[in-house]
Amino acid sequence: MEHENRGTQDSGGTAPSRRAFLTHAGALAGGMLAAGAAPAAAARAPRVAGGPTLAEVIAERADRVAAMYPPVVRSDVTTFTEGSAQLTNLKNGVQTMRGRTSGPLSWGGQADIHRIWCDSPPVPNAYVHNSWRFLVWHRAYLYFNEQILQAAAGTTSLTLPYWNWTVNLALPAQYYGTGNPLNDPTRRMGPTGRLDPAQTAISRLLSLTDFPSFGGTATAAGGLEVGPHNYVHRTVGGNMGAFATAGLDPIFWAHHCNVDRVWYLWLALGGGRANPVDPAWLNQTYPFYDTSGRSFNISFADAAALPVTYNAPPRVLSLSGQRVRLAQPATVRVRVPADLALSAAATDEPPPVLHVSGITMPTDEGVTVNVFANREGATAATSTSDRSFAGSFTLIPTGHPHDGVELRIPLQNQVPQMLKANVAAGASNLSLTLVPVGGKTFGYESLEMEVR
Amino acid sequence: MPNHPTTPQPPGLRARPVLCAVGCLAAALACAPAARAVGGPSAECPITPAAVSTPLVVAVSTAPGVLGTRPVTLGPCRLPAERVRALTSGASGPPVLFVEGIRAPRGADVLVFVDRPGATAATPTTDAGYAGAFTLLGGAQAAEGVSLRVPLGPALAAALRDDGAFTLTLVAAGPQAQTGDAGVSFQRVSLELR
Repeated sequence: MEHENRGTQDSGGTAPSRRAFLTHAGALAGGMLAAGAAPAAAARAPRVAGGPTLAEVIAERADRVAAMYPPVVRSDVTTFTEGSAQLTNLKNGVQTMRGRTSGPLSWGGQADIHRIWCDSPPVPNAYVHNSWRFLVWHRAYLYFNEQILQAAAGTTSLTLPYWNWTVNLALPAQYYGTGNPLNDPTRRMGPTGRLDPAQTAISRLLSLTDFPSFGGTATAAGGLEVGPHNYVHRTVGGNMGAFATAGLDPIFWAHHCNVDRVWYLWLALGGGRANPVDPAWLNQTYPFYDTSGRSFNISFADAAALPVTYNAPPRVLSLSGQRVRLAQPATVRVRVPADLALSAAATDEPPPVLHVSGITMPTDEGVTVNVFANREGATAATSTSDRSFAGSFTLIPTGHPHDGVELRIPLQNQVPQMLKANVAAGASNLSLTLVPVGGKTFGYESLEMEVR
Repeated sequence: MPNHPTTPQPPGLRARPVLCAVGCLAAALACAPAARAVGGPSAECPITPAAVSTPLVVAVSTAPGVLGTRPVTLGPCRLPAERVRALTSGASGPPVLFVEGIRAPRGADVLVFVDRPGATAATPTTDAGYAGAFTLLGGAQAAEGVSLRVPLGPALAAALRDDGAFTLTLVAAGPQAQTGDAGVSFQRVSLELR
């Protein structure tokens, strides 16, 4: 076993008692044995006439779980800016947990859950890595740790951030610094280190449509685990480099939130992507701790349905950076990263915004500009009731030259849905056609699209 | 290389027959290449046809191997013509490398290259032959043996020759590669195409 230096920083104490885990491990073993009794037969059982479809069962479970557990929406760590309430709450929560010397509500106690089930499970072959257990067990681990962290910080508005290492190759600066509860001095990767983007890319993973290749099987790990997940662990190094100590490094939680987010994105892509429906997966249970330190078991079926969602920080995508004068329709094209495309399609997100700057205002006659999405042949004759119509703006003459105006035009709701529908291999292609109406000339300096 | 009490230790690179019927390790063997059937699958890499819910499986190597400081090149294998077309046209999903029975008690970082028998730990991941990578954390489970799947990038499709033949080279990289024996063994390597 690779032994990296165990953290010398106050780790918050020892593990939950082994007796407590063994007690629950007995229940776990029973659950696992029951799940494994006839998995193949159950998987092939015909649907009972008049009974619910699989989709209905999944939806019912999601509703039931959502009623039991409060929803969380996790954000990119880049939004945890210095001095922000989010970052302050996160540091306070971690500091409080570090100050607890023992027990499952302590920082060390939470980390020890990972050590036990990843390196020395009390039940034979109950490892939660290198199999289809990996994603769903860690989802539950994150969620219940987050509940404990919220209680420690004294606010339910705190949620664990995610480190989007596909975009941000450096370990977030918020996690370094002497005296910073988010720091871990054992790391091999320093503030100037950079991950290899070839190994943190997720487009190939998102293009997979089968769970075995993406998330693993009963006997093999999937690509997300052995690809970017393991790579980041090994590259950060120190406590992060070994199962036994990984949970001690605060970056572990941000890292795993991103792993969970990739799973969330993968499922959101649809196209046949789905979690296992084998009872051998669904019925497995593992123990965790609630905010009172009481142990309980949760099934993988319920853990997979925990109400966790992710938002993406707004990103500005450049469409055109040169001065243009349009008398005829013109098309600009943009490639939107998959995670941003899927985030934009979430029903509670504001629509993308077209940002036009450096506009040359007309002095004598007004001009209306219609914007069409994925309709490159649009003309002044194309109706605004066409499904591709995404928005418009009108420039009213001012009577004198007035350049440099900026406008922000929200694009209509079908644009995010187009982005989602068009996602392939990690990105979504979108074209916007600007059509000056009436043959009037319209000029601008740059076009950008802001996507949330 | 730790001895495992219940599983035969994988043979070293030198303990191989001269004629390779299956899974020829080209790195360090005096191995006469088997005759290659023209226009059909290579005899060295048996192919299991796809079924309704299972992928087509190309057995790249059915013989155990050891990944030390020297890369291991597997193949050549050949894909059926229709699969070549599907890959090169982008009609199919990414090919998936399935590696079974890996033991890496100290962990491992492994890079995968297509048609790069000379690849080393110094070969960058920006190389056109780079197809993917996988990493293992060490520990008890990795010492017992794990299996994994990793999707490969467009390097395979780009490298497929007219006869659909290709080789795969596994390279131990990362800190382990600098300390000598990477201590990684594997039982089987196959390619899954959906």
